[in-house]
Amino acid sequence: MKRAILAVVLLFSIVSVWAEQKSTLSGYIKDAKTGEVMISATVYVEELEAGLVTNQYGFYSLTIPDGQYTVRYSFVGYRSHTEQIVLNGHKQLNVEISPLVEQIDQVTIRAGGQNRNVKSAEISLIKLDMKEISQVPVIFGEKDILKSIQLLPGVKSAGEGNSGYYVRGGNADQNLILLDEAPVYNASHLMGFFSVFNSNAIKDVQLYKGGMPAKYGGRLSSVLDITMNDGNTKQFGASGGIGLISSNLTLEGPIIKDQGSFIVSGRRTYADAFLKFLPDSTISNTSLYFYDFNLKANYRVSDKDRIYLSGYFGRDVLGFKDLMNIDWGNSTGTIRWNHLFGNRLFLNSSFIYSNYDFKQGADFNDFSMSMLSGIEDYNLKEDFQFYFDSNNTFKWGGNLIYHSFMPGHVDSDFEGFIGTSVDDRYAWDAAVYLSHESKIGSRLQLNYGLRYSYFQPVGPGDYYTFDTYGIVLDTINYQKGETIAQYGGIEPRASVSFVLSEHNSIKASYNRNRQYVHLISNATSGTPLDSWIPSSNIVQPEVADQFALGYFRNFDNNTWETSIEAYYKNLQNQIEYKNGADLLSNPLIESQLVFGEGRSYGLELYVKKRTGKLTGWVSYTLSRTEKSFDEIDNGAWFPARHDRTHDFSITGIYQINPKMSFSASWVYYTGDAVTFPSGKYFVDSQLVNMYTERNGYRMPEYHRLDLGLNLITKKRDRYESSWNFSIYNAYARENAYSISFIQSEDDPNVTIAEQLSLFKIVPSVTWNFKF
Amino acid sequence: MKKVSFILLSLLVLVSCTKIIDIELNSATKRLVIEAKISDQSVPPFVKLTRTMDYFNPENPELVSGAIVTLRSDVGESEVMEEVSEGIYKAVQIKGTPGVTYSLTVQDGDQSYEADAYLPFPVRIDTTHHFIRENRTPRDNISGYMLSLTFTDPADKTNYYRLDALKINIDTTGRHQNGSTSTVMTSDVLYNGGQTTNMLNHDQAYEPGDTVIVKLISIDEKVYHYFQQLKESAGMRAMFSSSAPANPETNLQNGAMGYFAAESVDMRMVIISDQ
Repeated sequence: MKRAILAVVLLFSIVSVWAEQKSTLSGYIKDAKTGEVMISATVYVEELEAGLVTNQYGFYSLTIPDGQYTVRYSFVGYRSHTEQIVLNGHKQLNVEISPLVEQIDQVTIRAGGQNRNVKSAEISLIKLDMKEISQVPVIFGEKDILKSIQLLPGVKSAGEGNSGYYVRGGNADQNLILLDEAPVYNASHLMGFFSVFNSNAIKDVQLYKGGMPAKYGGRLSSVLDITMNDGNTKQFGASGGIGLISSNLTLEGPIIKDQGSFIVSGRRTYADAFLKFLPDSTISNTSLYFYDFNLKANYRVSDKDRIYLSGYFGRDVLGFKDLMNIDWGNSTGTIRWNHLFGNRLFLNSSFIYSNYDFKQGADFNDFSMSMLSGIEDYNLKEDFQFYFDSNNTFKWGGNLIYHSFMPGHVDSDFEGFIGTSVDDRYAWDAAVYLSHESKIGSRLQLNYGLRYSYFQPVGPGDYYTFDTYGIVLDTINYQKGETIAQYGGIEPRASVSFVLSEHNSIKASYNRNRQYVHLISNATSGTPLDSWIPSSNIVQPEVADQFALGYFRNFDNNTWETSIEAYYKNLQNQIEYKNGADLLSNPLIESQLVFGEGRSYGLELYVKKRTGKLTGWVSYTLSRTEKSFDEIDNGAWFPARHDRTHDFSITGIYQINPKMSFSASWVYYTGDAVTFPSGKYFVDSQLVNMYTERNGYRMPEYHRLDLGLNLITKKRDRYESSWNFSIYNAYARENAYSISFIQSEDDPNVTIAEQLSLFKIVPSVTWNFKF
Repeated sequence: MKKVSFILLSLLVLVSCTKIIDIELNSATKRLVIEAKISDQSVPPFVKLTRTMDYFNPENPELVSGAIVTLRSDVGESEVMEEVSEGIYKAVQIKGTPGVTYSLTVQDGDQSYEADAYLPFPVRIDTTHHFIRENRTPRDNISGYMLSLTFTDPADKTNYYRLDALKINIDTTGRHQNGSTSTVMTSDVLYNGGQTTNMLNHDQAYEPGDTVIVKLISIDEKVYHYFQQLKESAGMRAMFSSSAPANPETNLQNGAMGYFAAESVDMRMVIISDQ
């Protein structure tokens, strides 16, 4: 470790000081139509063949020798803008670029940055194009970023119609999901069929499958960084959609023109409206829906200061007559302050609040019952970015989180009821990081950094030690603020690219991640009852090391993008449930867990056609994910449930004419690894299944075709009306959701296998408007 | 609380369809299944031996004859159990006594299986109580009387219980037959030394006039875990559970399926009356 630190110090000192007179060109890049700042837009100085991309707030800063330059500002799907600049002193230049009007036979605009996928050191990074997503067919016609990323290599769906995902063999809880920097703890609505992200309110989505920059931490497998729209700073506007199952409305506009703006976006489903038609009164009296709001406002206080306020609030509601009412959801809030020191040092300070809670109330005839569980975070974060020169950027910062975990309070006035409330858990979670992005010569680009994370569960509360059966050996009571355990460690991160030519490059990355909070999931698909627990005296932090190697090549003037990546990931202190574990509001939940290791390796292929009438991509993942626990099959390696050998998808969008586009996607993957019985016997006259090995069987293979049609019916300067038709599972494949083994009702000696399939064919239609 | 996930899953089932499928399962080596019980009641110690079979085999389980079954106790008793009918073995001398640890040896061909079980001191039922519950949620069509049992846990050590409610059916000729059994597993980890009430029939309701035999059975830790896991592995819970299904952990050594239980029992008969 010492050697690593030394290497970092050495590399930093290489960045020597030039004697030459230098000046800084800095500013913001914005969308000319809406005034939204552009994330990852390119600034390129032709004379120097040097450039960089804007940060998350649309800011750029280039320190270059004084002189006369041609500077080009560009972004995919936008007309690039060129400025002739005479630099002989610091200069601030805010630039607005216009979106390309949808032209069918448009000439590909050559712009610096078109081969950024080849040149940058970023490996294992997926950037979603929000416009592209809106054209991909989806279930219920509800476009969804979490379902769109599942069509990309290395990302696997958590199951039929599900928004949950697995990245490179990691578990679902090993994905860090950030919405405007706030962690989202439960990203699904309605049993996972919808994600909590309302696409209409989202500007930018980036998914790191590996090689995460040092500024991200806390989860092992991936980072999904989602940025909300800022709102139109030029004029008021409204857009929305009305669908069979949900509707949404977005309002946005300037607070003061070009100074600040706001956006409010809301969404509500009415799936339960259909339940009313069912004859069974207990079901038709059920209410089941969700709603969510995204709010964001920003205001430019001065040339150097900007304040952002963003929030998300969403809830799912499930009720039966007046007897039971359950609701759950996330709320997040972020206050951010961007400040520019001089013109090269950018500081973002954030105060972040995240909350997930689950509430249930039930009223029985002679008693009532209630349950409450959740997690709450307060997070303070400082991020500095220092644009040293056109080849070197330094980033450093840190954060401090206070977590409160509420694993479950159960209360009842039932006579003789024993409260099974689980003690609340509290913890401090801190990290500091330093990273350096460096271009060395014209071929080598290096991003590396170090992160140190620290986690400290604190009292009050009772903590336990257990015997092998999970029976309490000892109980220790901690006072408020008293330290229960301390964990910490260095997390090195590095990625490098070596450009072979304009069109191809080789990249490699290594990252170590630590995870201190863990999800205890009660079912195979996400349910609102899933609860988060902290590392404690018993649960150790999870650790992952990942190596990735890739070859990137573009063809035909960057029309085609291709890549092949290989990865190997090693996971420590993984969590599994004991046989027959009781996980629901169990105060001794840690006694139900076993700990072991995991490994995952694979090969990912990706081919994308970016421009032309036909666009789309093909992705294929060949992988293996295995786990080993001393308590399971004597430590033998067994396939993880989501170990799918082959995972293939093809997505195509065909622009028939400027007003009509057709899209299709087809997915195929190997069935999940499952445990089926290999025999049976009877105990006390009851049938018992006999199992021989963990996850020794496979579910049937999964495949599905989805079709979509987008139709713009009216398009004026200020008004647009369009229709979206989609068919999910177009050839009605009965994909297995689960297979259960049951006794025949006629003869208890006869056993049968029954397959449950969810959605056979789901057509949907949505009308969208914008003015 | 477990109901909530059932209900959510039930709603999910509404849009779904099921079908019987053909699936190929491995043919595992046959293993011996031992069901052995000794109790402080008048019933003599009893062992039933069968074998596991292929999953889709519709035949009756094979009974295992000719095994040498030996029962011993830590107070020096020892007896070879007699095979009273095919696969059924009984002890005539040894009677279950609280506070005694029993060991069972089954010699089946050249394989030998062993298990130990401690027979705890009995805990008495304080009272039973029944009340009406109405049908209240989808897929939960239980309507009728619920039965609860209250007992006081001794504070001196960790206790493990199995609560059985056995409904007695009376057929047209007036004969009594054993009907359905509801089982609840509970240990005093959460209520050591306190009085506790447990609902017995979660999966069925009783009608006025029903006769129900209620048993409070004290068992040792290993036997408790066996029945706990056995219960978890059956039913709808297991189908959607995130923990993969597995064989219940038994106190039998050497790879046999089943259990050897030593039980002390307190029993009551309840006749459900109109309220």
